[in-house]
Amino acid sequence: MQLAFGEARKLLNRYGLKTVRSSLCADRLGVLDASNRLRPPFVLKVVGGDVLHKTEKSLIFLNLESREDLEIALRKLSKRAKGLKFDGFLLQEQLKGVELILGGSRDPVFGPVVAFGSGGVLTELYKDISLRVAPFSKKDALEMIAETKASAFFTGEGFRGRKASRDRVASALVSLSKLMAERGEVSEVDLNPVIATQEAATIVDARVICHG
Amino acid sequence: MLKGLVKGSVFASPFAKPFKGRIFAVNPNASEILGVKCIPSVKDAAGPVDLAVICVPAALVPTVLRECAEKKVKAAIVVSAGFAETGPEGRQKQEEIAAICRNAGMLLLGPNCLGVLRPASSLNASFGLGMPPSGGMAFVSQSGALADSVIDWALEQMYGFSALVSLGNSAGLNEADFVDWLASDAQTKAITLYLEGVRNGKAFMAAVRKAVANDKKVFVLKGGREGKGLKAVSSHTAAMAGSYPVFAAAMRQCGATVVDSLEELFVLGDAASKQPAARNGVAVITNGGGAGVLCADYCHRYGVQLVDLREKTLARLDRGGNMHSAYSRSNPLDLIGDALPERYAAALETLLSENYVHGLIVVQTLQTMTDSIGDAKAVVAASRRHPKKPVLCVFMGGPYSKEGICFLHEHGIPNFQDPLLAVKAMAALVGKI
Repeated sequence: MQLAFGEARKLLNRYGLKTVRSSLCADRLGVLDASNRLRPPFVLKVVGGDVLHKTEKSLIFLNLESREDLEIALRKLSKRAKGLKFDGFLLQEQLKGVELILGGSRDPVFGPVVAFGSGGVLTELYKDISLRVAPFSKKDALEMIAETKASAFFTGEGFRGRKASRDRVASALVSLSKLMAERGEVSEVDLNPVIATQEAATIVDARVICHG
Repeated sequence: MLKGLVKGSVFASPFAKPFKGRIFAVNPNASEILGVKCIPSVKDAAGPVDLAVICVPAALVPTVLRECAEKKVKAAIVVSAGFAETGPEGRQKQEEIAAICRNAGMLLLGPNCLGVLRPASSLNASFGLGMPPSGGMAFVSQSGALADSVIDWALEQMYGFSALVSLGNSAGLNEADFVDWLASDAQTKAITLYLEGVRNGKAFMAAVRKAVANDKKVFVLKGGREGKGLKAVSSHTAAMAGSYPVFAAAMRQCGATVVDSLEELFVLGDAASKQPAARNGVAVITNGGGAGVLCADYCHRYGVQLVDLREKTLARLDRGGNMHSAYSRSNPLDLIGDALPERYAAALETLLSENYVHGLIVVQTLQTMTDSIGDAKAVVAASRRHPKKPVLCVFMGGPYSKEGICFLHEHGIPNFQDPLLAVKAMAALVGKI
């Protein structure tokens, strides 16, 4: 069973994992209202229920700057989501940075496992992922980062101008490992993407599956 | 042949030195087995019994184990097959024998296993044909037949073992229990494992961590990683196979080295059982350019750092008067093809006595004037003077180099035919793989 957006966010925050500033809205008016409290540009997406791969089904809009942009996006999303079971619209502040993926799962032999890799839509293609059995220390987390090609983003000069804080990402990995080790009911966590900057590692989208 | 060997060699073998402890042959129907007088039941043994090796048909195993329990035997090895590996009925039978042992507080190894060998004590509690030389490498295997072949191979390769354990179906003791025990075994310097599955991942990781903390290298070869191999595992040892990437990550996490082949498993295990671990930063000495270049390539690939030779080191080499005028003056240190043992000795001593050189790979290609045995003696002598620094050799060749290679083996210096394996072994010793 997938946790609803609010519950997932609460669980992640409790373990010190930072989630992007956002608002879950039931309808058009809710979205417009929330847009006054958040800082543009925005991301608007349809969340919950049947919605898994938002990009493929075009259930996500990026770079929304104005009220007009939001209105257009809302109209198109409502049309595309017709017939789907979903919780509502999620309005988020759009972050710029390095796209990473952090994941948690359970292995029948070793138990809780945490994965780290380059994020976004190409994760499954490149399979640039490192794994550790949870819980683990910061030292393990730093090694995890070093094992992947994403490590290029954490060097002094970054990669093509993109740089991120190794320390913040390592801390997020340690936190996720603690969550996976302590919360036996959580069978799967998919934090994709996590946007890392030099100041923070922020979860933009989260899927948390619990059993029972 | 089979008549005597399969069952008989459990307690006596023409290939093994006699075991010093007292042995009873037990069989209700025979008066003697291979010249040893039989007692009808373990209960008839005079005095306490430490270990029972059981190789009767599966159907009789519970009865025999109950007798052992009554006799308060401390441990039992069930060699017999016909348990969980055969299906649900066999699984039930296996649970039955596990329960008998558990309730009696009797340790159980097996069923469906080859047994245990402890060369230093001439203990061959197995149906393995031979007894390998005694040494510092332990081998724990989920395949019994593999263990048997390894013993034969070890005799040929001169690998020395502290213990060989065939786990079989692991109804009682499992891989984690043995690694935990080997972790504090004084004879064991390196632990090699062939595994198809791990029963309790966390317990196994804890055992490996303990071994690593006690300065023992652990090498793991995993069978049943992918495709049909993965499917073959469950029918083989009834072990649960999780995901291979998770297995490999977990092994690295607890400090074990994951290898890709049986050859690597034993070559690296042997090297780690004979040579010390060290910090990264090594030198290569060679008498041939090509072999040195290959070494340097592989060092780069596996993260083995080749130190830059300092001016004062080169000055010492120059002053010694043994170097060729065209020697490379850099690492790899090419001594040039006409290098004789004196030149090797000078280079070995100079480099090993530098505190920034933490280990050596010594390459010898075969050239017209090469004195293989002389070079080998130079290596052994230098290594003895610097026992904390690993020295690995790549004496390449066949009959012409055999004497030198044998000398190296006999004196605990691992030799490799291919620089690739030497570098991998060094990578393991400096903690890079």
